[in-house]
Amino acid sequence: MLCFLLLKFRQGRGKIHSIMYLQLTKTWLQRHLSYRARVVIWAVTDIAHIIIFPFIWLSVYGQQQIIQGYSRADIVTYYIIIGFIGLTATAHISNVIRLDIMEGALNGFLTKPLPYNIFRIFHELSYKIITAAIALVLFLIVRLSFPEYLIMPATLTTWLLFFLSLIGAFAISYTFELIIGFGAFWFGETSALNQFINLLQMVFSGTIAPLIFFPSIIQQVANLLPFKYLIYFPVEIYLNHLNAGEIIAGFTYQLIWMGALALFVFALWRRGLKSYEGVGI
Amino acid sequence: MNKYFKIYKIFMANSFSYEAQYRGDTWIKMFFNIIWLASMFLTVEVVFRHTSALAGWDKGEIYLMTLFWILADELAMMIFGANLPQLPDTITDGKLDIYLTKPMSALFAISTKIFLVRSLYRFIMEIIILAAVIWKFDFAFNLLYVFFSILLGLAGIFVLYSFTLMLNTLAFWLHRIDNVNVAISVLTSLGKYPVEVLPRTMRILAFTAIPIAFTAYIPVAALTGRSSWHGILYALVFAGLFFWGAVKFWNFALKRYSSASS
Repeated sequence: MLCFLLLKFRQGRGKIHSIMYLQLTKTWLQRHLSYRARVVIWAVTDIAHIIIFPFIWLSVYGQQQIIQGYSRADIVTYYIIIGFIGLTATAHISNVIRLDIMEGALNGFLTKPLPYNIFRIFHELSYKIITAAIALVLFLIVRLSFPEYLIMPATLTTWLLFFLSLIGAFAISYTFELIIGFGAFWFGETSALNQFINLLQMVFSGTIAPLIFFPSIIQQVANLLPFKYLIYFPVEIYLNHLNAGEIIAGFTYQLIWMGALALFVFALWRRGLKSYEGVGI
Repeated sequence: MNKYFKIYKIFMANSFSYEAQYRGDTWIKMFFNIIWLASMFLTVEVVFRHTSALAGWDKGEIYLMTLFWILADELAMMIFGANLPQLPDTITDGKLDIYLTKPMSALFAISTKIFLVRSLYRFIMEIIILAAVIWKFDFAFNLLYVFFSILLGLAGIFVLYSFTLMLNTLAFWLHRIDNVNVAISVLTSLGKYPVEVLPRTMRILAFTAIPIAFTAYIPVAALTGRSSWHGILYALVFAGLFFWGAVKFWNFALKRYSSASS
């Protein structure tokens, strides 16, 4: 992802200054805030899909204190952090890109002196500024209301590693959204592809439950896919469940997946542009 | 009434003809639906790897609840699921005029214009899975309970319709809230779990303002003999009142429509 951004920055050949990006962020922020109801609805949606799971697991725990190394507080914290990740490190840009391609709005962006992907990255990042603010407020409310159920990392290093893993998670999530969105170059309608990737993500990222709760075959498959680095890996870091070796290995895999997906996206974009018909020209 | 039957027949004929043009897409979506069903069942399996009962419901009953929710969701998708989600954009873009100038109820046309044929195919497949689950877990149901369960299931569809209509109607004030349908889908999907796991406040919400208990929990509670007669009565009366309230709210909101295009 970082390479992808740098590549795009280089394509700007130094003409694009930081002030331009700042202006871009401000413009997108204003645009997002003019549809505040949409932002709130997305925030509710990001949280709602996991809201029931802590209650289900607390019911499963009953009198048990620990399941597969997860205490009752761990499992509740696990889902709260998933909600936090949903708001701060999950991208939602695929539908915007699909519409740009299908309705021909991409034409306008291609004639601008900035690469299209830069526009869309700042579109998403500015949106994340708003949802991250919502996430922080909700996090504080939950922490103050239920301190016994929201564990905080003991050390500053854990916080730092957690935030680094969030950056990686966001980069992977964003590239997946680009893959779905660019699918519109060939398929037009991408809802089936979107549904498929979301399903894989739900199962193999650890959204339903910590991956350690799954049968070993699912855990083995999850280890081969990038989805666990979107949710499970950052939450495991937050909960301090990983040793130094596992953290290093996790970050290495996260970087490898980021690079591989970014290259794939770059290839998709180049090939897609060749088959783009430019509706409306 | 006869007029509306005729109109609905035409809507259905159009939908079947539309679907026939995209048969490949239908099969792809059917394939994804099977994977989606598998992920639902995987969730149940993962939970029951660590317990033998969830809030007093055994594994077979949770499978039943999941399937009832899937069937209700599929029926809703078939009848109005491709229509009501278009409402926010229709209102914001001023396209509601087309419906308002037609010699029939605008709400009827907006709610039923597209009959989602692929949902019908999926519904049939899901009924077969339900039969398999009933056979596998060796359920034996009382006929009266089956009757109440089906009745309550239909009432649940009315509740789901009313909830979807109410939230989409907010577009008259909030505009561009098409994503509210994703939120509805996410919220109602919580209805496939027993409400007993929820804390008291959320349980009250599930039976009132965010009525997630009506599509699966209440019908399955009736089917498994857990419902009292006043619980059944409450669900039926609530469904009627909620539907009435949703239509009233729609009529009230319609007066605000300023038609962006004309």
